[in-house]
Formats: sequence, structure tokens, C-alpha cells
Amino acid sequence: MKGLCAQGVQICFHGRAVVDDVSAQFRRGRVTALLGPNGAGKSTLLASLAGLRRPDRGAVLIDGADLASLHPRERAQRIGLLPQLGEVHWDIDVRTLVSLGRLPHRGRWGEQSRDISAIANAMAAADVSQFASRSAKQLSGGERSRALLARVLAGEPEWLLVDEPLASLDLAHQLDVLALLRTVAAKGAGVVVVLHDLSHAARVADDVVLLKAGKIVAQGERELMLKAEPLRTTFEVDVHIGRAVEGESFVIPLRRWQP
Amino acid sequence: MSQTLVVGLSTVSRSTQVRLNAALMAALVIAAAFSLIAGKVWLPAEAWSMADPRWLIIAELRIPRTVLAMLIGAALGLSGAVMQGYLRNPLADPGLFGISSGAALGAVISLYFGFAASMLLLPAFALAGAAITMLALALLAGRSGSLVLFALAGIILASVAGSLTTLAISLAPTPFVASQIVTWLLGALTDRSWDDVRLALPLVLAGALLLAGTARSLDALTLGEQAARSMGVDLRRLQWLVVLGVGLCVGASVATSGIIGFVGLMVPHMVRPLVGSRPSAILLPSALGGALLLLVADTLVRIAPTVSELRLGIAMSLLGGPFFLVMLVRMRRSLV
Repeated sequence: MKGLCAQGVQICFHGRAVVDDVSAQFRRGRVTALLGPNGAGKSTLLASLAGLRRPDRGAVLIDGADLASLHPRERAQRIGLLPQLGEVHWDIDVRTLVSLGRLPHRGRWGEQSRDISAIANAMAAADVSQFASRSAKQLSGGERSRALLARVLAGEPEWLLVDEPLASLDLAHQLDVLALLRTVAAKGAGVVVVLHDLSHAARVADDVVLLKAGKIVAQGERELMLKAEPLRTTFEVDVHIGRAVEGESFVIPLRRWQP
Repeated sequence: MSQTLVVGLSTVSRSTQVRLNAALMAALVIAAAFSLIAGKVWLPAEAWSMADPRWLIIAELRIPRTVLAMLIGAALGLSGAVMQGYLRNPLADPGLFGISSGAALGAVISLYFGFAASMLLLPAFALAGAAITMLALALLAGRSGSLVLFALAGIILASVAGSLTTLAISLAPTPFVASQIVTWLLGALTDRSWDDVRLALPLVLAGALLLAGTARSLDALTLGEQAARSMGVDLRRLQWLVVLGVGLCVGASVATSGIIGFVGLMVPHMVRPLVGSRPSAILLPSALGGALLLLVADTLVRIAPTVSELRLGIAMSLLGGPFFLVMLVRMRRSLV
């Protein structure tokens, strides 16, 4: 079986299932949005797809092989994760920060030309080349998240897993990052992204997985998922779904839905 | 255009690193030469022959002392750099895991029971103290790999070992033993011999080798635990590399020279402005810088015009206070 695949994944914290019997298939060349309210288990599912949290039940398979059987280094080369928390602990410059993304690939003797070009490409793609030598601590929140995204891109992963990458970005860079995710998918990688804004999901996703309280409410292609009924069940809000003159769909929450 | 700029940057930082390391090594050679000549007895060029009676001072006292100062300084500097990288805290210090307190307690116990006369027992007790502390760390922190738990366990052990040490002083059988313990705790390299070098060298080398193996993981940890794990870092393996490496380095230092503070804390701070803050970039310069700092300090306490030789441990603490005051002032300025 090709792709990244969750099979009956259950993950418990203190005896409570945070992710419960989730089965989902993620495909290469496509962007899949994980959507759901707070506490739905999106980040936990993402961490288990990245191999960081072994399922208590079920398994995550990568091209048919159990992800847990992969050597951590190989796993790190194939799957790149951008965590929600954008930690940078030392006062390093942006170029050094991005170069950390090559760690799973680098040999013993430092950067090779392949590493250097991957770093430069990633910086250009995330639009951070212009402050390569600035300290990461002096960046604004949005600049920093772009630098951190460049770090993951520098690893040129087959699978790009990103947790709320748009949180602190201005409108222009939100569009940039969404376009970037599409480009990454178009080049053949699989992208799984946790998003909060349904209009963003409508813009970027090929497939959508709707999660609520650890369970999958519905999953499938975007057109089928971004509809009033499944969104109402997932988020407990009534939504208006419209289409701009330019053709882009948008989703506006109207009111809380009382069942 | 931007690509050439980026490539240029990387080569610059790399060559800065090489240049700093070369400069530190050169300084180390000069300081070592000075350390061999300088002391209560100055040893001019004529003394450097087997026939000269002063040769004994050189061969049996000065050379081992110089070697030991560099060895211990390097061990402490490297341990400090690794600890700060591992805990992602610039105020971390090799003493934080309680290993040095544990080693000191071991040594104090041997002094308490009057074993000091034997050349071997005191270091053996100190090393046992370090080993027991590491074991206790393992039991307390469990298999979680959690950093907070680990630091907390270290603080507990350090404070227990510290209080037991004080207890030993207060219950010392004779005032002489009490003063012997206190003096030893202050740390020094006075009258160290080749035996001490032979004891410390293999331990420090083994520890340094383990610590060198943490470089890549420490870099990854810059981005937090989750990102590091996603980059293939095994946090539990890293934890044990750090504990064993720091344990061997610090255990060997305390066993041969008592507690010498501040080296591990200060040196990484001195190095960072020169080579940047990436944890792996500061490991070698911190080891070299630690060796240089301790060697220079030990030479200075030897030639200082004091009645009895100033204890190296005290000298380092005296240096540490103002150093951190300067840092505080600078930090305050950047915060305002």
C-alpha cells in the first residue's frame, strides 16, 4: 500500500483515548488538511504520523511498512514535521537555523554541496533568504515561522507534516505558505497540514479529514467535506459556504449550532 | 545571487571556528610554557636539563600539574558546553546533575575516615560517589527521557550530597579532619603528581568522546524536543551520553582536584560571541578555552604574592562573580 496510512490508531494519555480508532490514508502529491475543534486530537495524530508517538493500538504504515520499524534517521529523512510550538533556543542566525533541517542527511564532515543547495532553495521558497544572517531571536513572529518552515523544507522530506503553519503570518505570507504547500505537493511529496481556518483549507486541500474528540467524523475529497452538514457535526457551528468571483471558496461561521 | 551570499556565510562561520580553535591552541602552548617556568621557584632555561637539581621540580611537579590543569579545564569546559546545550539553558553548569557534589561527598567520606594518607583511596571514593550519583539519577528520572524530571532529580541529589558533606564536617572526629575536608573542598592543583594525571586522563578522554557524540543531537534540540525527535534524535540515548560523559569528566576532575566551579559555566559564554551559539560549534572551543582558563588561573595563583598559595577553587569563584555581574549588566542594557 502506497502512502502514509493510519490503521485503527488509538493513542491514550492517562487512560483517555485522545485519538481513537483513526484510520486514514494520505497520498503523495496531495495536500490533506486535518480539521477539527480544539482537543480533537489533530496534533497528536500528526505526531504519530511523524513517528513520534507510537500508537497504543493500531499502526502507522509508510508504503506498507510499519513506521515504528524504520530507523529514526531514515524516518527523519523521509518525514519532516513542523511542530506547532516554534521553539528556537539559541541566538542562531536564520541560515544556521535552516541548516538544522539537513541534520538527518548530513554526513560526518559537515555540509556538502547538496546540503547547501537544499538550504538555499528552502530559504528562497519560504522567503527568508533576505535575512539569512539575522538572528532568529530578532525576527518577528511571522518571519520566524517562515524560517522554521524553511528548516523543514531543507530536509526535502517525502512527507511534510505541518501543525498550524499560518498562525502568526500576515495575509500575504499566509497566501505564500499555502501556495508553497501546494508547490511541495505538486513536486510529489505528501503534505498533511493542521489548519483552523476553513477558508484556508478550502483553498489548499485536496483531501480533508474531519476530527472530533479523537474520532474521524468524515474524510474525503475537499468538495465533499467542506459542506454544511459535516462541518456542523464537527465544529458545532452553522457555516455559510460561498465562492468568490475569482473562483476561490470561502467558509464563514455563522452561529453556534445547538443539537 | 542570494545563493552565493548564503554559501559565503557558511564558509565564513566555518573558518571563524577553525581560526578560533587555532588561536586557542596557540595560546594554550604559550600558557603551558609559562606555567612550566612560573611559580614560587622560577625555572629559567638553565634548569631544563636532567643534570640540574631543579629538573625534579619540572618533571615531577610542574609538568604533571600543567597537564592536569589543561585536562581538567578542558573536561569542565566541555561538560559545561554540553550541559548548557542539553538543558538549553545558558546558566546550566556541570554541577547541576549533582555528580560533582556526589563525587565530593565520596572524597569527604574518605577524609572523614582518615583514608587521606593513601594516594588511591580518596580518588576511588570520589569516583564511587560520582558513579552512585549517576545511578541514583537513573533511578529517580526513570526511563522517561524527560529533561525537567532529570534536572529536578539532579538538584535533589546535589542538595542531599551537599548536606551530607556539611554533616561530615560538623561531625568530624578532630578539628584537623574538619579543616582538611574544608581545604580539600575548595579545590586545588597543588602538589599533584603523575598518578593524578594517570587517573584523570583515561576517564576524561572517555568522557570527552561520549560528549563529542552529542553534538548533532544538541543542535537539533535547539528547536525543542519534539522537533529534535522528528529529526531522528533519540532523547533517551542522548540523556545517557550526557550523564555518562559529564559523569566521567566531572568525576575525574573532582577526584583529582576537588570542586572547581565556574569554569563550565563561564567558558561557553566567553566562546559564544566568537563562534555563534550553535551548540555543536562551541564544544571544541569550550574544551580548549576551559583548558586555557584553568591553566592561566592556576599559574596566577602560584605566582600571586600571597603567604600561602591561593586555592584555585576560590580563585575561580572570585573570577566568576564579576564575570556574571558584567553579563547581568549587559543583559539588562539589552532588555531596557
